[in-house]
Amino acid sequence: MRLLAEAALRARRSGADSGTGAAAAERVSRAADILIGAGVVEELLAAEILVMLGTALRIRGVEWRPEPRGVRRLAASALPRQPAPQPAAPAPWRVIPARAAGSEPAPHAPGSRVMAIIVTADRMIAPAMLRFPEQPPAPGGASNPPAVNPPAAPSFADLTATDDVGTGYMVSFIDSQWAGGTWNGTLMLRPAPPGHARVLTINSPNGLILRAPLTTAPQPGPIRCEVTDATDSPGERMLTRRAESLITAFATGGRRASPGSSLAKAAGALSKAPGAITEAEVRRTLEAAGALSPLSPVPGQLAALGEWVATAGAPGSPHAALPARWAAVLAHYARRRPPTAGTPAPSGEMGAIGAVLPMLDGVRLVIAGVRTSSQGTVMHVAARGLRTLPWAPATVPGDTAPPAPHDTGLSWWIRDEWGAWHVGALQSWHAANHDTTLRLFLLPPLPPGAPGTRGTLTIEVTGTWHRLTADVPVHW
Amino acid sequence: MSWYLSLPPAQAHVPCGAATHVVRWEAGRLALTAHPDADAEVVLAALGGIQPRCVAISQTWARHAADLDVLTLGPRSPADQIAATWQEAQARRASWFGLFTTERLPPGIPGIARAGGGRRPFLAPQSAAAELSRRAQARIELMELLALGPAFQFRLAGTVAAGWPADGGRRPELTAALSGRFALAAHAWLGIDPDAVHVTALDEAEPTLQMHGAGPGRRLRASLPVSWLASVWACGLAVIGGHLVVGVEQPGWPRARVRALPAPGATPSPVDVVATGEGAGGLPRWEIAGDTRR
Repeated sequence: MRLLAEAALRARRSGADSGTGAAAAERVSRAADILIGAGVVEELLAAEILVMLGTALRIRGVEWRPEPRGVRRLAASALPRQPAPQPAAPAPWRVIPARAAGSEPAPHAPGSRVMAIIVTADRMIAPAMLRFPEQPPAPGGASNPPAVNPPAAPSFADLTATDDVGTGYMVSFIDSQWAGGTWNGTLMLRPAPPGHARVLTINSPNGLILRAPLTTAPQPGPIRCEVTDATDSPGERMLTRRAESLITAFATGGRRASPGSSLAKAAGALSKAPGAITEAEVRRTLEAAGALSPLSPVPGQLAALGEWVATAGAPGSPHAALPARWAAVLAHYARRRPPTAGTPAPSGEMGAIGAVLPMLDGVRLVIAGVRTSSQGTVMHVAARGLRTLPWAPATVPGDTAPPAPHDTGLSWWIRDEWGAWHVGALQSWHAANHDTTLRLFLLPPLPPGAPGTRGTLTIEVTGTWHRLTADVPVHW
Repeated sequence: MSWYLSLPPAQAHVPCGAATHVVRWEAGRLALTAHPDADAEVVLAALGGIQPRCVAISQTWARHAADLDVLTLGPRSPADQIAATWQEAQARRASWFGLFTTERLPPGIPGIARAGGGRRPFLAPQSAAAELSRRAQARIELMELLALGPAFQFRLAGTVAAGWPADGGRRPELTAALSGRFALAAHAWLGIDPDAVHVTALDEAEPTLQMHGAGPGRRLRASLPVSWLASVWACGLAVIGGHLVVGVEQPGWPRARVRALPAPGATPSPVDVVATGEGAGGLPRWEIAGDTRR
């Protein structure tokens, strides 16, 4: 970046007008985005280099300033930061895994269940499925006629959350999805419970909604877990994440990238990040920074993936050079129709995991669980130490393509008990103090387990430098 | 050997109170001719008195004598002109170091961009404001130092570069500083595209230069000690009479002995040089001693 900045200053001298210097400075800015994305340059350092470059240009008569996103990075980086967690330090959470379905503290709340309760310093985070009791018939009146339309969502403001020692909790709800009388999403309850509290209860005016234990049962934890060095370079990791985003766009956007289709636009968005970064520029920048070998096969695989996506479903579609996992996911969606958007999500099945994973590249992760429905499978994760995610979707002015997915710097692959791999695609995220809750689509969806059964998933998370592989039990 | 022995004294005029005073640089030090007892004035300022700007400049110079940002903002060559003025630096100070600005500032003043181009108040989070203002204030101080003029810009850059060994933990900054300046010297020497020059920063090892290819595609790979920045470049000695200077055997002004080479494949050899006057950038105009071509 610094050498590029020097080149930008020289371009100012040799250029016919100040636009030459500004264009060269934009190239430095794009390189910053690429190298930050690859995880080889810290945001604060990149922002400082850009700010200094802007100052150096302006005192030489070139009006160029870092884009607001760069300044936001600087501001965000200047905030007092939580000390980086140490690998040997205990996890910053207490995780209360869900009991097997039906074994919650009596009296039971039929249909309601949490995946796990993650207790942080100031709150509880609990991905959950809540079934709301129907409103009782009015006294002396006839029972309500069958509803033609789905009932309206109950008011959350009427809910109360308490524990058995009298603590009241402020409840907020994120990632909400409604299907009939069932709510799926993540509960946030503040404050953190006292250590001697044993049971959490959530009530509505119509009755009990949830009872969940607050005592820590023996941690199920991963059955097997190991952290190894990532076998590919930071540049290859970044290009692989872009490929996974393209696979996600294909899986969720349609079968074929016909011109003008949402998938074609998504592919376009992936091939040019803000500032119209071309794949060639990405490769050049990564190679110049030593983050990508010129002999790496990954750029070719990404190009082949793009061709595959553009022609998928057509006879003779090229399949060459794609890693087996990519091909398997693509093949699944090339032969199936994508789920219809906009239909209410049935309650589906919930699989509780509640596993605390070892640190990966400075990130602490808790896998809360998975939920399957006709709309797919969502895995709920809590993370601490995650990279700064954009404050707003990254869009190009005037570009109608959908924004490129947020890049957490992590690749997620999940293998089911039948050996099939599922890619984890970030669907949404929510920042809460130092923690971030993530919802990951698993593509293709997992087959739901039968209630009361237990299965095992293999979760593979790859960061810039390390890979974590864990076998975790799932309680359906 | 002190790198600055190849530089003559220089002076700048600084608005100080109601007057304009001379700040003088000589033998690596600043001298405040109008403030013979600057230390006493510092004490008075600490007790609530008004600190004269000359004294403030002297303190600012000392604060940034090892600040690598000087090399980031400062000149790359004598032809690299920087438009930094006292007025701009004052405007920046008046706008709370640029973090709050409600009026459009004159061109050339660092600030923070806002989508849409207009400059509006940038409301930093309170906890980040102190850190942001510290950084902004450091840049304003650099602006004030750069406003002393080209002669002081080169001398400050030399001071900074001389204080950093290549293995001092700041190799990326030093490599960039060395590359940006040596590439322009190589261009002046050979006419090569500066972007085709690749520089490796060394400690005090022997410089090496290797030319690869020919014509427009030629590339120059150079390994240079970081001390080249102070002892050669900051003294205006980089290219003299068609020779590239890679080191200084005997610093001095107006006469010095350097090690230079006439072509990329040649071995550096001692060359006596003499300053014949003041050149661009407030630096001496050097010629090879006895060279009658000019």
